[in-house]
Amino acid sequence: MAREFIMLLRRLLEIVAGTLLISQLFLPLLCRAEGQELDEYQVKAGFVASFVRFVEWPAEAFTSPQEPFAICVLGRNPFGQALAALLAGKSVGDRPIVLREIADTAGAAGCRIVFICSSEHLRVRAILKNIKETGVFTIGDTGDFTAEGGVASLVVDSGKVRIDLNVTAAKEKNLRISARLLQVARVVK
Amino acid sequence: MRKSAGVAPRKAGAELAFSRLAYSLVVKLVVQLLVQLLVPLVVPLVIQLVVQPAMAQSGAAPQVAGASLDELLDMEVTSVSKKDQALSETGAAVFVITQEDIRRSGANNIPDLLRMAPGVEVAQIDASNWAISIRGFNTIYANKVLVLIDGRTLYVDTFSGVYWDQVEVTPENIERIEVIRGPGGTVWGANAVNGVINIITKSAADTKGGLLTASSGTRTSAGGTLQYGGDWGSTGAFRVFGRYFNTDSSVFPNGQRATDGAHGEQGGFRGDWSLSGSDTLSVQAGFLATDAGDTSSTVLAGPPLQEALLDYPLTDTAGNVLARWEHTLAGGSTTSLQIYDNAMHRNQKGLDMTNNVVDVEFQHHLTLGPRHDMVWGLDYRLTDSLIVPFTGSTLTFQQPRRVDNLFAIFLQDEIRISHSVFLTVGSKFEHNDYTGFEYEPSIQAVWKINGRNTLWASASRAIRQPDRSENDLLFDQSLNSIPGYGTALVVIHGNPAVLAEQLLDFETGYRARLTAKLSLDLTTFLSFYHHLETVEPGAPYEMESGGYPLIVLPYTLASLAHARDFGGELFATWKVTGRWKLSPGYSLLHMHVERDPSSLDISSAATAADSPSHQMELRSLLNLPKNLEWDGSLKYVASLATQSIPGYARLDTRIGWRIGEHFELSLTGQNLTSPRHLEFADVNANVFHTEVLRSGFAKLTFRF
Repeated sequence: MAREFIMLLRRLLEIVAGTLLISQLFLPLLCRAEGQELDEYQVKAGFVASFVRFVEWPAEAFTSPQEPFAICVLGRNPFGQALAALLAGKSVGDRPIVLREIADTAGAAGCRIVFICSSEHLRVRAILKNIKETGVFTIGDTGDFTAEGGVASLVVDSGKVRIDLNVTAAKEKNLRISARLLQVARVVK
Repeated sequence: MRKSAGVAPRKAGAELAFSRLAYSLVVKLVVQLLVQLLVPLVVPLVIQLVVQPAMAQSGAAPQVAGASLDELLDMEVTSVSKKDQALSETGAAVFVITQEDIRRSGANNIPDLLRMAPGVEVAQIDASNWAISIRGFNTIYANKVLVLIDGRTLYVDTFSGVYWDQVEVTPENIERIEVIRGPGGTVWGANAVNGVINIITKSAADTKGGLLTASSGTRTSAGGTLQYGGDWGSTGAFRVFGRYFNTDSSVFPNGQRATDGAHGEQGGFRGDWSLSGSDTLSVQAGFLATDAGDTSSTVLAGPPLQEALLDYPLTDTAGNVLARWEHTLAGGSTTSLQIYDNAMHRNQKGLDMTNNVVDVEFQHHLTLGPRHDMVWGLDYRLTDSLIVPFTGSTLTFQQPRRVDNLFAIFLQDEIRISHSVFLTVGSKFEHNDYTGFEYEPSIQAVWKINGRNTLWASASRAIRQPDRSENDLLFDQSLNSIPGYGTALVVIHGNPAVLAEQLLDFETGYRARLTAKLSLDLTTFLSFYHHLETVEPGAPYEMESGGYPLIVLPYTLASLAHARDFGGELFATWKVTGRWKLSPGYSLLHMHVERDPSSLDISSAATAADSPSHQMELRSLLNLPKNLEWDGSLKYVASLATQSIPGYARLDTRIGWRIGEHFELSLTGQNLTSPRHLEFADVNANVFHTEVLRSGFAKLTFRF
């Protein structure tokens, strides 16, 4: 009696285990087929390049009407050639966009966008504190970038990139964020 | 302590009957599953290979250029770290277990995590004892794999191996585990013979905030972690944590309850600081205390001598402190200076072992001209080891205390032959107190055929330096009755003349990203071992113990075996859809161990059958709607002939649910295919094996 019961239980478990696996194998095939995945920094480069269209910089940030629009990458550049390729030949109004790789905040003078790389994760707060100039849109992707005073953070969440915005920091930097960007971003402060 | 000649493996009758039943069930299940798995696996694979055209890699992805904000937000992305990228271009067989893999495996100890890595043999003996090796030679005292946590070696000179119950790391704090199959002696030195397991924990800057986990299940009554991390000044971060874990006792193969239950406490600190733009400092400290038990067969000092199966307490206390300073020089080259102290006190099988290791290491990484990328380093290690047997124990070390020095220097140069061909040459030169001067050279060639295909080949030499057991052991291993003669006592003597084991290894590998969704990694190896350990019988003599006559069969350790192994590992990652990832893997191992003509050891050849000749695995990670995850892994391990362990299949599955931003709840089931199974039987009952049970547990994670 006991043995029969154990055999039955075993049989049941076999069936359950089998069904578990098989259903796991088939279920996703029933889910909607999705697009191909891209490298994280390919997409993040896309965001950095498109922010110029959704942010308004104060006129006094530029010293002359001819001054180019500088986008700077501080730290070890994670974009490869992707960001340079997206920005090639582009301009903001009449200002041609230039891309600069910088090692520290000393080189950040004149940068209108500063992307702070994750290689600098230990000194993010110190870097943000040292960027005293207004009219600088800071972007990062380290843990609590916006909490530490950065303007925008690009966070990978469930396989997609999300924008976190610190609107207080944007205001302090005299930046005007468009309603469109505010609509899709997660406002954290 | 070692396997000896002429001692028959112990077997329990009930175990045999049960293992037959389990075997037939498992085989039936495996066949059934394979058929059901292969059809849905192979068909879409073929379709995908045929239909999907290969995509060329360019500066910017065409989908990104000109995409709207909404389109960008909707794109599926993968995160490949620079480190992963570099690893995928090396001339070595590497498998990386990522934090995502760790979280989704549901495993709550390092050995269970390692089961997903191809070529790694993981077998549980009881709650605290494991047999873990890479590419063969697996035993409870497996001695050919080097294990490191953040650059701190866990090598123990008592038996050249690792006490796996001391390898405890909070799973949430691991950044990745690099599993390198094949020799790593050129960089890591002696004992990185068959592989290196490199556990790397997260920087404190990546674990800010609070973490609380609590788990409970059928095998563990309660476990949990409490951690808090935050800023330290304006350029630093820290974390402190405490952890508790336990496992209930299992059962012996005959169904009787064992006493291998274990529980432990762990605590630690890590701080990371950026001292300037070019200097970083990392400091960590940790302690561990565990309390467990195991059962082993022991000869008790008489008179008269008696053999008994005894339950022993197994306790560990261990602590470590490590500091590493990294500095970037003006020219862009980097230096690192690391110093650590690793101390432990262990009580197992009546031996009281105290071990302290102090290690200082310096490395300099520089580029010379356009073609040379060089690393060189210096290392000094002091090992102080004290082993005291309890009164009445016949397991003794002739030299209770030993202090050893190790000096090492290494140099490795990666030479760019052309834009697609790289040659890496280097060697380590060491001096140890056992065998003196040793060297471990290697050469690797990597050909990046294009952005999607890489071919590599390597040749290397590695050594395992002898250990204290081989040198100092004096051990009454077992009492055996020989019909017509009386009782025989097997005594094992260490031998200070034992040589370093040598490996000459040849490997080739191929890595391919066949499509954006399918990648493949294949490695084959051919390995020649020399001076492998043997136990040589001496002339028997008579003695008396408490009025009883005894025949003494003395055995002495020697280095008189060699081996010729070959095999390979194949694994793939297939992103079936954006939500579903499948990772199949297969490893093949053929071992041929032979004694030298002068050897009389009749057991060494049998060690080949202590490692499975085939292993297969299939992992599945699936994201369901509503923040649900459903993950599973199926692993098949072929039989171990000398131990009469039939092949078995393990099925583990996990369901995870993210509730808001702060909570995660997961339910994990392990070993679902059978109520209990054996994974490893130590033939000399150094530790008497218990069964691995079917189990389930729930875990709640709260981040604040």
